[in-house]
Amino acid sequence: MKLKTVLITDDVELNRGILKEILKDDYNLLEASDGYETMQVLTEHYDIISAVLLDVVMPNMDGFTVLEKMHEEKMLEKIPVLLVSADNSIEFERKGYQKGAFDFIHKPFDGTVVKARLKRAVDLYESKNHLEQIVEDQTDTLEKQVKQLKKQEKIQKQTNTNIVDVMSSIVEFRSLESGQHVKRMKYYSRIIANRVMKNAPQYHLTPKDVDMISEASSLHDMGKIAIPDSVLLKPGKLTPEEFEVMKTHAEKGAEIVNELEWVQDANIHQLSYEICKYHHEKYDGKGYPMGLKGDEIPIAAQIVSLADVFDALTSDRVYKKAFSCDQAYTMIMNGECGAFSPIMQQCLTECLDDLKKIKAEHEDTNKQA
Amino acid sequence: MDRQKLIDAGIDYDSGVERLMGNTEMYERFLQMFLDDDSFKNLDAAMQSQNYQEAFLQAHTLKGVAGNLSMEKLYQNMVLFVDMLRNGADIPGAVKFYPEIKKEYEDTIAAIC
Repeated sequence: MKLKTVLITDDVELNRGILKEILKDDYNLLEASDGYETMQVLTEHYDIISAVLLDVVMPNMDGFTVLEKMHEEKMLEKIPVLLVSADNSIEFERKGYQKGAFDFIHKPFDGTVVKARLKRAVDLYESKNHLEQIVEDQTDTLEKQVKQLKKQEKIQKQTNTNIVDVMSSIVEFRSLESGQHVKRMKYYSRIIANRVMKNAPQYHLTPKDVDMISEASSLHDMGKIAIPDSVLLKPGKLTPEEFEVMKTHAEKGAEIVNELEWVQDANIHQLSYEICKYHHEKYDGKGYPMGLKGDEIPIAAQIVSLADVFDALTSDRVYKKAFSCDQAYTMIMNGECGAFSPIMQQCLTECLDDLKKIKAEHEDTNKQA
Repeated sequence: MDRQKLIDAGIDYDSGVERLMGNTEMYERFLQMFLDDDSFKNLDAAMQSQNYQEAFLQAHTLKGVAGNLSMEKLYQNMVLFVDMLRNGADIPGAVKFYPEIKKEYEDTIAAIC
């Protein structure tokens, strides 16, 4: 085994000689004969020195000053110092400990005692430094793992967003809805959801929920890809039979979302499902497909439903011209487009101005005839 | 070296060897080195020039060396002497005591030679 290195300091050569004789079989030895030399050797060989036997009374710079300097250089954390002196008073030991000495070796030396004290100091610091290294290494590893996890989470999130984007662009192409509609739905849903989060703590919405509702809102009509062209793209008003077919898009959308379970984050998957299936439910139970009432309708679906109705009213359709935002607001508040809860109505009232801004910024560019 | 002569001069020969883990040869080599050690010469000069602070430091060093070499009698006297000089505690006492120290040192040297 490779010998550890110990620095012996004493201005008297004879004393160093005795220490060397005692320790030469167990350690590589470095020597210094005064305080300056001690600091010089310490600085040069800091990495390999396992302990210092430090004489206190030395010319130029005494042992206590060396201790102070070692403390300033943070060397005492890694290297134990054993003060060597012929002064055995309690004041001396107290001062030594206060300045960071690990232990004391008294003159006259006894070979066995010197060896034992030194070995104990070296072993203790070795395991201490080793433990600290382990802790440091493990902290490093953990930090790396956390970074990796965060990276993966980001990728996962991106994947979720991509899937939602792909799905909603399919809906756009298929049903000839404009991309602006999907964008507005995201913004409207976000604005309304934020308002619900503030006004209605009973729903326990978090900022993350708001993000997810806004994202998932673009999927609300995904079921329409399963509706035959003859119904979906019919230019005129639908017959009652055709309307029944059209209504199935809610449940069809929920079925499609179910297929996405393995690729979507669990929370956003649940929200996507609720939004697809229940965005045509009404507060008074007169909606479809389930006829849910009140807060049986998930809050995410209530939010997206309100956004959807607002956007439908304020957009041109084959069978109608767009209403103004104020007109649409009045119609919704009067229950002309199905019932919304008092909470949703209050939220709409409070965020109408914000919705108007979005509407102005995201007009359909090429309007349908 | 004559062990009995050393013992008669107040050197605890066996304890000195024991300090060096039984290495007689090594111990005698260190005793030999003591002849070249300057601390007594420096102490003597400091006492002559009445520089008692310097005398304290040199006496302290000599005390350490004497102790390390198990020069029991010299060591015990140095302990007393150092305490007299420490912070100038008893300078007249130290001055009075010094000839005895000097004689003790010379006896020790003589026994080694």
